[in-house]
Amino acid sequence: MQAQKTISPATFIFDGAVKNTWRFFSSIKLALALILVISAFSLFGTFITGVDVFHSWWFLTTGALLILNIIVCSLNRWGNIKLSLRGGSVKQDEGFYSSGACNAEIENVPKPDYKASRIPVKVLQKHGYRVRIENHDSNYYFAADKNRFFRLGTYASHLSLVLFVLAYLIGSYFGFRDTNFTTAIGNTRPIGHNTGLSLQLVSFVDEYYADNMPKDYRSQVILYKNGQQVKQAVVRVNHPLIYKGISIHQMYFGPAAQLQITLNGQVLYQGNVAIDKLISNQGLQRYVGSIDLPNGLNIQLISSAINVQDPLIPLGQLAIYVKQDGNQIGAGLAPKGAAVAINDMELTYQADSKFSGFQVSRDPGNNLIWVAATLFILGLVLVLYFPYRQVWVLYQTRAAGTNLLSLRLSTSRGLNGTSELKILVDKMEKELLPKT
Amino acid sequence: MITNLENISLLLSLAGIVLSLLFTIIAFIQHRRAILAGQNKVEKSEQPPDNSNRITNFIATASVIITLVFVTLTIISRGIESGHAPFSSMYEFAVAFAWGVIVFGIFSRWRYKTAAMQNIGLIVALLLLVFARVEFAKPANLVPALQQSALLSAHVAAAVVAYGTLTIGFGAAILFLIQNRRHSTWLPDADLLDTIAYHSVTIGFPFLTLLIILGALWANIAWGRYWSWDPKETTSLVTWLIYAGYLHARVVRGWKGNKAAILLIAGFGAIALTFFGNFIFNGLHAYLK
Repeated sequence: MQAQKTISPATFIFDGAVKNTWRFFSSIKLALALILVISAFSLFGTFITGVDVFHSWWFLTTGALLILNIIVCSLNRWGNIKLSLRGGSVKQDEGFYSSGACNAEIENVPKPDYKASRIPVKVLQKHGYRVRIENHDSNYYFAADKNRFFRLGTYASHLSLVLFVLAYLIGSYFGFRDTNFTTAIGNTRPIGHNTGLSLQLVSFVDEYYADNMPKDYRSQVILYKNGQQVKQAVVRVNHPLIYKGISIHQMYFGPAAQLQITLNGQVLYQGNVAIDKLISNQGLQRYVGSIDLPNGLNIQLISSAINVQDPLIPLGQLAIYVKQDGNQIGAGLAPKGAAVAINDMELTYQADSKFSGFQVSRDPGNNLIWVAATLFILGLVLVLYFPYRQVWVLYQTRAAGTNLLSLRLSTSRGLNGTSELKILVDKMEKELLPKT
Repeated sequence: MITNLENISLLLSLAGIVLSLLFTIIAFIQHRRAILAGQNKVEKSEQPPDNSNRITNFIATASVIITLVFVTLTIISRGIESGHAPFSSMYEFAVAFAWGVIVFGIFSRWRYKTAAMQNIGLIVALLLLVFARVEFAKPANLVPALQQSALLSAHVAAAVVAYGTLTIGFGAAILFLIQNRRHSTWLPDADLLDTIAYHSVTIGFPFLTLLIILGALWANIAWGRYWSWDPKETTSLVTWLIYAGYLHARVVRGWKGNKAAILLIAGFGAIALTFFGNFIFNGLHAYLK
């Protein structure tokens, strides 16, 4: 006699808790409830502005629970699918063949057993079924199945959902995304993020249709790696520049000012400054550009207020603020073409130019997204269009000429197998019964 | 010339649908009368063959085919004029959506030997074409984001198949709910309606998935981000979730009948919200307004 294993109450409670948790997460009802909640949250996030639903802890937690649910459900189904791949028992009880929604009988088979028993195998194999046979007493048992490997499609689809989330996490933790990377024409700006890359904007063009709708905007850029040119390209909407996992997308554009700064007659700065940041002050919205110079100097250029008349900065002029180590040391208004003296500096707003706004990003999860998408579609096609079918056949030998063939068919995915069964039965009848 | 052809085709499509629906109603009345007359007769076999019903049905069917020809002509003439697939305005997409609904309506009629879903599809197509007529927009120049013809054509083609088949599924779900209560001889059997609804989801759902994936692919090329929680993206995700829920409920939990039909109606509601979302929300698809 086997000795009873004693377990402690703590282990008993723990085991029970694990089992209950597993059962909870293996429920399709939970999946449906979570789908409903996510749909409701998504609609809430769409209709209600001002609440970032999609990055809230409650939305992300619901998503995480669904993923956990998918993983547990998938693991739970493995035993069943493994059995389908291997094939379950061939011999079934007699009552089994006449139960279920889809069954048929062929009575009074006159052929001798050794011939008649081959017919179901022949017909089923012709229809793509794998057939296994057992012979018990004077009866023949057949178990046939079709598309068993396509049952794995469910793993392809559900695994891909996990991969989507994984791709998102990889992108978030190992990638970066600068959505406001601006460079004025002629300027070179380091991309940062330990890439060693810098981007120079050589030229920028914006074109419009006759009805003023935007037609094209394109940036001619040069990419440098540690000071060495590595790529030249024209970046446009729908035509990003991609270099070793770094993507540069054309996003927007705006004004820049060509500025010259001299200090005691020496040129301190000559180039374009992107006027790219929107600030609000006393109900007025103005764009601001900024450059840092040696010795803690910072120059800010502020353009006239948008859409309204600016009481402080006349249209076409720039307000210039000079700061040193964070303290303002001078300010002035600069009309185009005229030099403005601030302390020992002379600042000239020489001409208008443009800046181009890019998104610079690296998303190591990106390729995984497309793998997951392909896997999802593939899994879906396998599962939906190649349904798993099983046919069980019992051939009972009775008195001469009264042998009985019983068939039962079952399909997965709630499909109706009546027409398939009819085709199989018709073909078997044709071979088994005498021609009338 | 082409614009005239487009306008005339659209108007004739509308007329074709109205004619088909009208003759379907007449056929229904004739069918009811025949049943009542049959009940009054002692011997049913004494009834004369009902030729008028056959003629009415023929006119209804011919009108659907003619409608399809004219909707196709509308899309082709617009395509010639604009130089691209119908993806740049709500007008263009509404006509394409109507085309999908009519095609899959005819397909369902051929496949299941019943015009019931086709007729529900025709009502949806009629509403879409009226909407298209009201929202008529001349072919506009493509803004930079839309200059991605191949991908957007595939995106819209997937939408036409997905929305077309899922509308037929919606029709089957509506008819199921009616048939489940009324047991009408005019309508198909409730079990068949349930099966048709399921079949339409098995076609529509993969295309709905493809639609979202192609949209994400385009967004990644145009904006460097495959998903932005843009309202149209979000409502399409909600639509996808509802149909995914339907498939799981039906296949794993064995949901059939009323519960499954209600889910399909909710799914179609989500499609309508996604489609008309441009008028409610701003977002990356706002140019379609």
